[in-house]
Amino acid sequence: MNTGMDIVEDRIGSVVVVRVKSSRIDAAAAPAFRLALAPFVKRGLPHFVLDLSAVGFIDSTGLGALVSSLKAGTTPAGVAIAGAKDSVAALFKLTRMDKVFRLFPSDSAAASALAG
Amino acid sequence: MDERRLQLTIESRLTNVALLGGAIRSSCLAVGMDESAAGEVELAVVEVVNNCIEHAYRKTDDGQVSVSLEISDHTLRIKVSDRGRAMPPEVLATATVPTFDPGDTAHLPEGGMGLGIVKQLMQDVHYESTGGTNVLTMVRRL
Repeated sequence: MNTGMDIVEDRIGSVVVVRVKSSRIDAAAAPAFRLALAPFVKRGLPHFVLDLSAVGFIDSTGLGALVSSLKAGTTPAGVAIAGAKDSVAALFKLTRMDKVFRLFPSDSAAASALAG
Repeated sequence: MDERRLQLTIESRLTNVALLGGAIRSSCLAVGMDESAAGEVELAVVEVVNNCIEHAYRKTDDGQVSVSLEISDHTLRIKVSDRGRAMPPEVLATATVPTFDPGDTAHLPEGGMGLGIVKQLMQDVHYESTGGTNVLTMVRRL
Protein backbone atom coordinates (compact mmCIF):
# COMPACT_ATOMS: atom_id res chain seq x y z
CA MET A 1 0.00 0.00 0.00
CA ASN A 2 1.27 3.47 -0.85
CA THR A 3 1.64 5.47 2.34
CA GLY A 4 3.64 8.24 0.66
CA MET A 5 2.67 11.78 1.45
CA ASP A 6 1.72 14.05 -1.44
CA ILE A 7 2.99 17.57 -0.71
CA VAL A 8 3.28 20.48 -3.13
CA GLU A 9 5.18 23.74 -2.66
CA ASP A 10 3.45 26.93 -3.68
CA ARG A 11 3.91 30.61 -2.91
CA ILE A 12 1.59 33.51 -2.15
CA GLY A 13 3.61 36.69 -2.55
CA SER A 14 6.76 36.13 -0.53
CA VAL A 15 5.25 33.45 1.69
CA VAL A 16 5.90 29.76 1.04
CA VAL A 17 2.74 27.62 1.11
CA VAL A 18 3.13 23.88 1.65
CA ARG A 19 0.01 22.13 0.42
CA VAL A 20 -0.75 18.64 1.73
CA LYS A 21 -2.66 16.81 -0.99
CA SER A 22 -3.16 13.56 0.94
CA SER A 23 -6.53 13.10 2.62
CA ARG A 24 -5.28 11.38 5.74
CA ILE A 25 -2.44 12.05 8.18
CA ASP A 26 -2.63 9.05 10.48
CA ALA A 27 -0.17 6.75 12.22
CA ALA A 28 0.48 4.86 8.98
CA ALA A 29 1.24 8.07 7.11
CA ALA A 30 3.08 9.90 9.90
CA PRO A 31 6.64 8.79 8.96
CA ALA A 32 6.12 9.85 5.34
CA PHE A 33 4.57 13.14 6.51
CA ARG A 34 7.60 13.86 8.70
CA LEU A 35 9.91 13.03 5.78
CA ALA A 36 7.97 15.23 3.37
CA LEU A 37 8.13 18.22 5.73
CA ALA A 38 11.86 17.85 6.37
CA PRO A 39 13.06 19.87 3.34
CA PHE A 40 10.90 22.82 4.41
CA VAL A 41 11.82 22.84 8.08
CA LYS A 42 15.52 22.47 7.28
CA ARG A 43 15.55 25.32 4.78
CA GLY A 44 15.55 27.91 7.52
CA LEU A 45 12.39 29.68 6.38
CA PRO A 46 11.27 32.29 8.93
CA HIS A 47 7.72 31.03 8.51
CA PHE A 48 5.45 29.18 6.11
CA VAL A 49 1.83 28.25 5.58
CA LEU A 50 0.80 24.60 5.87
CA ASP A 51 -2.36 24.15 3.81
CA LEU A 52 -4.39 21.27 5.24
CA SER A 53 -7.58 21.95 3.27
CA ALA A 54 -7.40 18.58 1.49
CA VAL A 55 -6.94 16.64 4.73
CA GLY A 56 -10.08 14.98 6.06
CA PHE A 57 -8.57 13.14 8.99
CA ILE A 58 -5.60 13.55 11.32
CA ASP A 59 -4.87 11.54 14.46
CA SER A 60 -2.55 12.27 17.37
CA THR A 61 0.35 10.45 15.70
CA GLY A 62 -0.01 12.64 12.63
CA LEU A 63 -0.16 15.73 14.81
CA GLY A 64 2.87 14.48 16.74
CA ALA A 65 4.77 14.11 13.45
CA LEU A 66 3.97 17.74 12.64
CA VAL A 67 5.20 18.88 16.06
CA SER A 68 8.31 16.73 15.79
CA SER A 69 9.16 18.00 12.32
CA LEU A 70 8.78 21.62 13.21
CA LYS A 71 10.77 21.35 16.42
CA ALA A 72 13.67 20.30 14.19
CA GLY A 73 13.66 23.55 12.25
CA THR A 74 11.43 26.54 11.90
CA THR A 75 9.75 27.33 15.19
CA PRO A 76 6.13 26.16 15.32
CA ALA A 77 5.07 29.74 16.02
CA GLY A 78 6.19 30.53 12.50
CA VAL A 79 3.88 27.99 10.92
CA ALA A 80 0.34 28.98 10.06
CA ILE A 81 -2.21 26.24 9.41
CA ALA A 82 -4.62 27.07 6.61
CA GLY A 83 -8.00 25.66 5.64
CA ALA A 84 -8.27 22.95 8.27
CA LYS A 85 -11.64 21.23 8.13
CA ASP A 86 -13.65 21.19 11.37
CA SER A 87 -12.59 17.63 12.21
CA VAL A 88 -8.91 18.52 11.74
CA ALA A 89 -9.14 21.81 13.63
CA ALA A 90 -10.90 19.94 16.44
CA LEU A 91 -7.80 17.86 17.15
CA PHE A 92 -5.63 20.97 17.39
CA LYS A 93 -8.11 22.39 19.91
CA LEU A 94 -8.53 19.15 21.89
CA THR A 95 -4.77 18.91 22.35
CA ARG A 96 -4.34 22.68 22.82
CA MET A 97 -2.01 22.75 19.82
CA ASP A 98 -4.12 25.65 18.54
CA LYS A 99 -2.12 27.66 21.12
CA VAL A 100 1.07 26.67 19.28
CA PHE A 101 0.00 26.80 15.63
CA ARG A 102 -2.14 29.67 14.39
CA LEU A 103 -5.15 28.42 12.43
CA PHE A 104 -6.58 30.42 9.52
CA PRO A 105 -9.62 29.70 7.36
CA SER A 106 -7.72 30.08 4.07
CA ASP A 107 -4.23 30.09 2.60
CA SER A 108 -4.54 33.76 1.66
CA ALA A 109 -5.54 34.76 5.20
CA ALA A 110 -2.62 32.79 6.61
CA ALA A 111 -0.15 34.25 4.12
CA SER A 112 -1.37 37.78 4.85
CA ALA A 113 -0.88 37.25 8.58
CA LEU A 114 2.66 35.94 8.08
CA ALA A 115 3.62 38.62 5.55
CA GLY A 116 2.24 41.41 7.74
CA MET B 1 -33.87 3.85 18.45
CA ASP B 2 -33.63 0.22 17.28
CA GLU B 3 -30.57 -1.69 18.37
CA ARG B 4 -27.96 -1.92 15.64
CA ARG B 5 -24.60 -3.63 15.71
CA LEU B 6 -21.49 -3.70 13.55
CA GLN B 7 -18.40 -5.84 14.08
CA LEU B 8 -15.13 -5.52 12.18
CA THR B 9 -11.77 -7.23 12.52
CA ILE B 10 -8.41 -6.21 11.03
CA GLU B 11 -4.94 -7.67 11.10
CA SER B 12 -2.69 -5.60 13.34
CA ARG B 13 -1.12 -3.31 10.75
CA LEU B 14 -1.32 0.49 10.87
CA THR B 15 -2.18 0.56 7.16
CA ASN B 16 -5.43 -1.27 7.99
CA VAL B 17 -6.63 1.32 10.50
CA ALA B 18 -7.98 3.70 7.85
CA LEU B 19 -10.34 0.93 6.70
CA LEU B 20 -11.75 0.62 10.19
CA GLY B 21 -11.93 4.35 10.72
CA GLY B 22 -13.81 4.92 7.48
CA ALA B 23 -16.31 2.16 8.27
CA ILE B 24 -16.94 3.53 11.76
CA ARG B 25 -17.42 7.06 10.46
CA SER B 26 -19.85 5.86 7.74
CA SER B 27 -21.80 3.80 10.26
CA CYS B 28 -22.15 6.80 12.58
CA LEU B 29 -23.44 8.93 9.70
CA ALA B 30 -25.84 6.16 8.67
CA VAL B 31 -27.56 6.21 12.06
CA GLY B 32 -28.01 9.97 11.99
CA MET B 33 -24.96 11.38 13.73
CA ASP B 34 -23.65 14.63 12.26
CA GLU B 35 -20.26 14.99 10.55
CA SER B 36 -18.60 16.45 13.62
CA ALA B 37 -19.77 13.69 15.97
CA ALA B 38 -18.96 10.96 13.45
CA GLY B 39 -15.47 12.41 13.05
CA GLU B 40 -14.95 12.42 16.81
CA VAL B 41 -15.99 8.77 17.09
CA GLU B 42 -13.66 7.84 14.23
CA LEU B 43 -10.81 9.65 15.97
CA ALA B 44 -11.45 7.89 19.28
CA VAL B 45 -11.57 4.45 17.64
CA VAL B 46 -8.43 5.12 15.59
CA GLU B 47 -6.51 6.24 18.69
CA VAL B 48 -7.46 3.07 20.57
CA VAL B 49 -6.72 0.75 17.65
CA ASN B 50 -3.35 2.46 17.09
CA ASN B 51 -2.54 1.72 20.74
CA CYS B 52 -3.47 -1.95 20.27
CA ILE B 53 -1.11 -2.26 17.31
CA GLU B 54 1.75 -0.22 18.75
CA HIS B 55 1.65 -1.36 22.38
CA ALA B 56 -0.38 -4.57 22.76
CA TYR B 57 1.11 -6.17 19.63
CA ARG B 58 4.29 -4.05 19.57
CA LYS B 59 3.83 -3.44 15.85
CA THR B 60 3.89 -7.13 14.94
CA ASP B 61 1.33 -7.79 12.22
CA ASP B 62 0.20 -11.29 13.16
CA GLY B 63 -2.45 -10.22 15.67
CA GLN B 64 -6.02 -9.14 15.21
CA VAL B 65 -7.94 -6.13 16.46
CA SER B 66 -11.74 -6.30 16.59
CA VAL B 67 -14.11 -3.39 16.93
CA SER B 68 -17.80 -3.74 17.74
CA LEU B 69 -20.18 -0.82 17.59
CA GLU B 70 -23.61 -1.02 19.18
CA ILE B 71 -26.27 1.64 19.12
CA SER B 72 -29.31 1.36 21.36
CA ASP B 73 -31.31 3.61 23.68
CA HIS B 74 -29.54 6.71 22.40
CA THR B 75 -26.21 5.26 23.47
CA LEU B 76 -23.22 4.38 21.34
CA ARG B 77 -21.08 1.62 22.81
CA ILE B 78 -17.81 0.66 21.13
CA LYS B 79 -15.59 -2.21 22.20
CA VAL B 80 -12.03 -2.59 20.89
CA SER B 81 -10.42 -5.94 21.64
CA ASP B 82 -7.02 -7.50 21.11
CA ARG B 83 -5.09 -10.51 22.39
CA GLY B 84 -1.73 -8.82 22.83
CA ARG B 85 0.07 -7.52 25.88
CA ALA B 86 -2.34 -6.09 28.45
CA MET B 87 -2.22 -2.40 29.31
CA PRO B 88 -1.36 -1.68 32.96
CA PRO B 89 -4.51 -0.30 34.67
CA GLU B 90 -2.84 2.96 35.68
CA VAL B 91 -2.24 3.91 32.04
CA LEU B 92 -5.92 4.55 31.36
CA ALA B 93 -6.60 5.90 34.85
CA THR B 94 -3.93 8.58 34.55
CA ALA B 95 -4.27 9.36 30.83
CA THR B 96 -4.80 13.05 30.06
CA VAL B 97 -4.02 15.40 27.23
CA PRO B 98 -0.55 16.69 28.12
CA THR B 99 -0.21 20.16 29.52
CA PHE B 100 2.58 22.29 28.13
CA ASP B 101 3.84 25.82 27.66
CA PRO B 102 3.01 26.74 24.05
CA GLY B 103 6.03 29.02 23.94
CA ASP B 104 8.47 26.32 25.02
CA THR B 105 9.05 24.75 21.62
CA ALA B 106 11.69 22.29 22.75
CA HIS B 107 9.30 20.60 25.17
CA LEU B 108 6.15 20.40 23.10
CA PRO B 109 4.61 16.92 23.37
CA GLU B 110 4.91 14.67 20.32
CA GLY B 111 3.03 11.67 21.66
CA GLY B 112 1.21 10.23 24.64
CA MET B 113 -1.99 12.03 23.70
CA GLY B 114 -4.19 9.22 22.40
CA LEU B 115 -6.02 7.98 25.48
CA GLY B 116 -6.37 11.50 26.86
CA ILE B 117 -8.14 12.48 23.65
CA VAL B 118 -10.39 9.40 23.88
CA LYS B 119 -11.40 10.33 27.44
CA GLN B 120 -12.36 13.81 26.25
CA LEU B 121 -14.49 12.48 23.40
CA MET B 122 -16.36 9.76 25.28
CA GLN B 123 -18.56 9.87 28.38
CA ASP B 124 -17.18 6.62 29.77
CA VAL B 125 -14.04 4.61 29.02
CA HIS B 126 -13.05 1.41 30.76
CA TYR B 127 -10.69 -1.48 30.18
CA GLU B 128 -10.64 -5.15 31.10
CA SER B 129 -8.12 -7.89 30.47
CA THR B 130 -9.48 -11.40 30.98
CA GLY B 131 -8.22 -14.75 29.73
CA GLY B 132 -5.74 -13.13 27.37
CA THR B 133 -8.29 -10.86 25.74
CA ASN B 134 -8.08 -7.12 26.33
CA VAL B 135 -11.22 -5.05 25.81
CA LEU B 136 -11.46 -1.28 25.94
CA THR B 137 -15.07 -0.07 26.04
CA MET B 138 -16.12 3.47 25.14
CA VAL B 139 -19.60 4.88 25.68
CA ARG B 140 -21.01 8.03 24.16
CA ARG B 141 -24.56 9.32 24.60
CA LEU B 142 -26.30 10.36 21.39
